[in-house]
Amino acid sequence: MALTITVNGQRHHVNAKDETPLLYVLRDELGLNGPMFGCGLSQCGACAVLLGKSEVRSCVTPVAAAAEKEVTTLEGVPRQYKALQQAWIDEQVPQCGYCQSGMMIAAASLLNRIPHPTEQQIKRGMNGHLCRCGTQLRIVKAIARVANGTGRKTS
Amino acid sequence: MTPLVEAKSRGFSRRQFLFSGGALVVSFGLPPASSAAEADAAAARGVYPKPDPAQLDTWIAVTQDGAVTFYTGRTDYGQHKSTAYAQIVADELDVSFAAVKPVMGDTALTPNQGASTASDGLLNGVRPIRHAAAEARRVLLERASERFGVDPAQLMVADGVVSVTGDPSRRVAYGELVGAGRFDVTLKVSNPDTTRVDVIGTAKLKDPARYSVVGKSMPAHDIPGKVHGTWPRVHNVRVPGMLHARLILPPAPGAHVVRVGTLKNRIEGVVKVVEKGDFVAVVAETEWAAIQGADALEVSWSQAETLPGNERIYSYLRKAPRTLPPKIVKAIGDSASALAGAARTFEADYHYPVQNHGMIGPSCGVADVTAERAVLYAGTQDPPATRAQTAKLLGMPLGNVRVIPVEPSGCYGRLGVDDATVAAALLSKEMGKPVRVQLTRSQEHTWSPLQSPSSFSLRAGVDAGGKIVAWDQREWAWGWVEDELPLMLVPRAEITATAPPLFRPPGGGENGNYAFANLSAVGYAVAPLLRGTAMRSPGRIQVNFSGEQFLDEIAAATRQDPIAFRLRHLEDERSAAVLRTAAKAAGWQARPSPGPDARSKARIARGRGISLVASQRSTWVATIAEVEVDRQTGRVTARRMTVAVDPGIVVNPDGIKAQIEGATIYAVSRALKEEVTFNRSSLTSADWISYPILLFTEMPDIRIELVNRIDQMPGGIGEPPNTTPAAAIGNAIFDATGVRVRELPYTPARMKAALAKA
Repeated sequence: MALTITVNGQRHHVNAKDETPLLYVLRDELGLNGPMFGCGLSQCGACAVLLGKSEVRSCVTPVAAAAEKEVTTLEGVPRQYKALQQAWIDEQVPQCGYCQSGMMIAAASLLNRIPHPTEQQIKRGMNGHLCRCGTQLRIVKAIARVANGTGRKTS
Repeated sequence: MTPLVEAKSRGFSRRQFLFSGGALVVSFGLPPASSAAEADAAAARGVYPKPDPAQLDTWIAVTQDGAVTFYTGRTDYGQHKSTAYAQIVADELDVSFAAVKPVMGDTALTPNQGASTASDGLLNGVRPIRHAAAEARRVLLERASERFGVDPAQLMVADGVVSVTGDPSRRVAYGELVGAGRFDVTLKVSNPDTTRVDVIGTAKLKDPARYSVVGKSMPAHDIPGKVHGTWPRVHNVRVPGMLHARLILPPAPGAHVVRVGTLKNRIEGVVKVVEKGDFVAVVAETEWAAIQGADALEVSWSQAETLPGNERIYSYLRKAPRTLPPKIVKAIGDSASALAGAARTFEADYHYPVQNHGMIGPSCGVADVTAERAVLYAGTQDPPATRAQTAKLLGMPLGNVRVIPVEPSGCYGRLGVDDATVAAALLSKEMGKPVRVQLTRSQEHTWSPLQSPSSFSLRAGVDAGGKIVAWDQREWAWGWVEDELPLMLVPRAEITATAPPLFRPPGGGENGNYAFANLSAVGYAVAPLLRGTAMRSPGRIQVNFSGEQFLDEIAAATRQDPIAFRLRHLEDERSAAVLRTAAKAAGWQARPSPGPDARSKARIARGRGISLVASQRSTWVATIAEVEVDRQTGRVTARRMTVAVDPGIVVNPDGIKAQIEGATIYAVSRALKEEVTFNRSSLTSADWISYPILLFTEMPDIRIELVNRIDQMPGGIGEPPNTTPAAAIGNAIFDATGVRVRELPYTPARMKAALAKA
C-alpha cells in the first residue's frame, strides 16, 4: 500500500515499504540531495532532516513515522531558516560540506528550542553532529550570528 | 526525479563541459571547433584524447564573452584551492576574479598533474596555471599591439580590457581578441604527467607586489552551492539506468570465501549476486534493496588470525620482517662518535598508533562501462591512478577510460586509493549497466587503507653548555605500497599486503629544520599487517610528535625554556619568525618546563607546550597548545591553540585560516582520541563510537597569526598545521604535570595510568 508523505511543503505518494528508512525515500524516490548517508547508525548527523520543528536522523527513521508530519530538507528550508544559510555563507563555513546539510538542520532545530542560545548551549546542542574538516568553530559563529540578530531571527 | 548531476557520457568536447548553476552539466549545444569535433568522433569510438601540456590552449581558454576557464589535472575537495587558483589567474591575466572558472581533474579535459595529495596544490599544482595565465596575457597583448600598431609596452589591461596608455579611447576586450578561440602557442614542458609538471612560455610573471586579487579573502566559489545543496557530489551522481551495489567484505583480513549461499529471504529489487573469487557484491535496482540484499545474503568465510592486537603493535614493528633495506633519511656528520663524546646523553621511545582518515561520507563511485569505453564518476584524489587501475582491471586500453572527478566527502589522503569507483567499474562491466557503489560505515572504518603505525627510538647528546651535538632517530613503520591495485577491494577483498611497501621518508631532521652538527635519521620498512596509505601530514606528523617532544625532554632536563632552546639550534630565519610570532600571540612566559602546576596538588593542572615544523621547505608552523589535565579523571582538554604560520605568499587569508582551523582540530582529535583498535583477527574500530573523534564541546579556541611573505612561492596549508598539535599537546601535558607520555592518543585511561606511575 502506497504511503503519502509531505516533504518541503509538497505531498508525495511513495512506493517504499513502511520500514524503509526515510533517507532512501528522500534521496532515491524523491531525488533530493540535502540529506546524505553518513553512518546509518544515527551517530554522525549527515542525514538529519526536520520532522515538524525538530531534527531526526533520516537514516534510522522509518518512512511511515514521517507520514503524519511535515518533513523539511535543506532544499526546502523555509523562510525563517534562510538566515542560517546566509550566516553559513557569511562565515565561509563549509570545506567539503558533506556534513553541512545536517548541521544547518540541527541548527534550525536548536534555534526552534532555544531562540537565543549561549555559546555553550550551541556547542551542547550541536554535539551529536560530526564534522571531520574542522568547521565547528565557524558553525558556532554562524549560529550565534543568527541568534544574536546579526542575521534574521528564526521563528 | 530531477538528477542533480546530469551525466551523459557519450560524446563531449572540452568546451562543452560546464559548471552551470552549481550543477555539473554536459552540454551539447555549443558549436565545437574542428579539433573538438574530431575529439567528439573519437570519443564516440571510445577513445579519449590526452590533453597536451605543451599547448597553451590545454591550460587556459578565453571565450568571446570574456570568460576565462583554466584547466587543471588537480582536484579540489573542499580546500578551496580552486578559489586560490582563480585569484592567481585573475591577477596574472588582469581579469576580474568573477570571470575565472575552473575545470578540474577530468582526465579527458585536463592535463595530467598526478595526484592531489601532500598539500602541494599551491606549491606545485598552481605553477603551470600561473605560467599559462601570464603567457595568455602576453599573447593577447601581442594581438592588441598589432591591432593598434603600438608597442605592447604601451598597453595596459584592466578587467580584461586592453587599452593604449594615455589614449583610453583605443581599447579592446580580451573577448574580441581571441578570434577563433585558440591561442595556438607551444610551451616548454617539464616533468609531464607528474605532480610537478610545469610549463614555460616567454611571458614574464607579474611582480607579486602588483597582485590585487591575491592577498584578499575572496569567497570560496563552492560554498553557496554547498549551503544550498546544489554542489555536485559523487554520492549524488545519478546516471540513467544506474544500478546500486553493496560489497560483501570479509570479517577479517586474510579470510577467504568458503561458500556464497542464497538470500535468506526474497528482496524485491535485487538483480544479481556477483561472485568473483573473494569479491562478492549484491546488485539491485535501488540502494535500499542492495543494502537489504547484502544483509540477507549468506556468505561463509574461512577463519583468519593475522593480527597481533593493537596493544602489541609496536613490539611487532620492532621484530617484523623488513621489506626493504634500511632507508637513510638524513646523515650529517658522525652522530655515533658525537654521542659517545657528548657531555650528557638522552634516549626515549615514542609510539604513534594506526589512525583512520575518518571520512564522514563513506567511499562512493559510479561507473558506466560499455564494451568500448569506461566513464567513471569518482571522488578520487588521483584521477590518473584511478584511470590506470580501472584500465588494468578491465583489460581496456588507457585511452578508453575517462575519469570525471566529482567532489566526495572530505578525504584527507584516503581517496588517493578509490576503492568504490574501481569496484563500480568491475560491476558495471559485469552488469552491462552503470553501477553505483557506496561503502557502509563499518566497511569504510575497517577496510579503508589506514595510516601505518610508527615506533621511534631517539637518542641525543648535548655539550656542557646544553646544546645538542648529536641526534639519532630510528623509525619502524610499514608505510604503504606503490601498486595499490592488488590490495584494493577488487578484485579480491584481500588486505594482507604482498607488494613491497613504498616507504615514505620519515621526515628526519627536516622536520624542525634544526642545525644539528651530527644527525642520523633511519627508517625501517616492515611487513604490513593492514592496508596502509597516506593520511594528512604522513611521516611528518609522526616525526614531529616524537622529535618535538624529545627536544622538550632535553630542554627540561637542562632547565632551558623550550622556545629559547629551539632558537639556539636554528639558523633558519623563517622558523625563528613563526616561533617568536606564536610566543608573542600566546603571551608565552619564558621559563623551563614543567611549570608551577606540576608541583601543585590541585585537581586541574594547566600547562603550555610548543611544536615547530618547516614543512616541505615551503610552510613554517609553530603551534602553542594550552591544556588542562584533570588528575582525577585523566581527561586532557585542549583549551587554546595558538598557531603562527608562514605559508609564503598569502593568497587568500580567510581560506588559509579555514585550513589552519580545520587542520588543528583534526590534529587535536588525533592526539586526544584516535587509535584504530584490533584484536587478533579483525578491526574493532568500526564506527564513530568505537573510533571517536573530537566533538563540538571539546573544541579548543584557535588563534591564528599569518606571516605573509609576498616574495615567496605559496606553500601547502592543509597538512603543515596538522603536523604540530600532537607534540605541542604532549609538551603541554608535561608542563602541566611533569609527566611525559610518549604514546598517542592521550586518552583518560592512558593519562590516569601515567599519572599514577609518576
